[in-house]
Amino acid sequence: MGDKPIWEQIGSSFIQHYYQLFDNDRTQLGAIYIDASCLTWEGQQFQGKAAIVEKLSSLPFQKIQHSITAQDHQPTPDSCIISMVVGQLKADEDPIMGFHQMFLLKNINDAWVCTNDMFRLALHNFG
Amino acid sequence: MARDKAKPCELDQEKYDADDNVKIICLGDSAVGKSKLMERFLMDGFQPQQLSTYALTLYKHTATVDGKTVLVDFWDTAGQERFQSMHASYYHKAHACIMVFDVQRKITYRNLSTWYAELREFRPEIPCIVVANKIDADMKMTQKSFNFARKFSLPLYFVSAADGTNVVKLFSDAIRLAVSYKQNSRDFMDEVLQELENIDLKREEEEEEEMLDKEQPGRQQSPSPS
Repeated sequence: MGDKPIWEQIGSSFIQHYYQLFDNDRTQLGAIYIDASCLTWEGQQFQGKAAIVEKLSSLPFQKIQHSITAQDHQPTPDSCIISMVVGQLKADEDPIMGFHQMFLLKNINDAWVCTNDMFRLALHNFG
Repeated sequence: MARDKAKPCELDQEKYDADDNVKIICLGDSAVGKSKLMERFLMDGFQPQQLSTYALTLYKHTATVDGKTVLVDFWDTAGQERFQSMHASYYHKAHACIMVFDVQRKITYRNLSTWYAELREFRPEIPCIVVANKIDADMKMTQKSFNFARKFSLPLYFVSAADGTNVVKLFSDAIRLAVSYKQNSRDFMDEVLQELENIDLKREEEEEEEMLDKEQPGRQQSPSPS
């Protein structure tokens, strides 16, 4: 305990919390965003807690399971934390797909919230 | 030379230009039974090719149409459609489309219009078959008229991947349609692209000639108008 820098601890507990919410009940994800938050989902932009939660809740699958392969965290000069995740996911009975996700976390009134969130499937161009 | 694209790619879409090759794409919401239909048609033990870097599944099949051997690639998605719209190259060079919905889930029928709009954006002319799957669960469904197919004058097949009803007929007809599309008609876009490729080739040839001219000065000396 205490070996890991504080941003690593905060970052990794955020990541754990985020995917737990996402996999169990993604309508609850509003708790981690604020009205100034931005989400870029597969290139589509959403701003504000309500728009983000609506997007995430309306994704067309019943079950989803994320598995984190690796995560990296860094402190920023303005005391935020930037986190990058590489992982795999499985939606309903579909084959497993890779994904990348990046978060910017900010401490507001003693709570960590996500102000920026970018998501991409790890799929490549063909043909 | 300039066409030499050294891309790390297992997928060669150029082959679909060859006479004996056709590409048939499957569209429709997740879990309507697209893969189940494919597996039913190709029978047990068939191993599809999973291309996870593109979220694609390819089913290769050899068919005989009017005495000729045809190599058919069936393209199926592996779930990316839930996260984003389909990549344009999924539609590229496709010769026919099988569009599936689940008679047990209304939403999958309603979403056909979104799928169809996207298909037509990329492939305005290719034959498209509408498939009502899972009729084994409720045979009464075959009595229903599904307006979507009628509205766009598309053939409608009632099938069951579970018990095999109409599965062979569906795929043989799809292959036949793909072959006849390939032989008889060409999409406007295909022609435009072909034209563009020709122009590119011409331009490259011209550039090559120009380069040759420069490399060998004096070979083509035109009288300078002082």
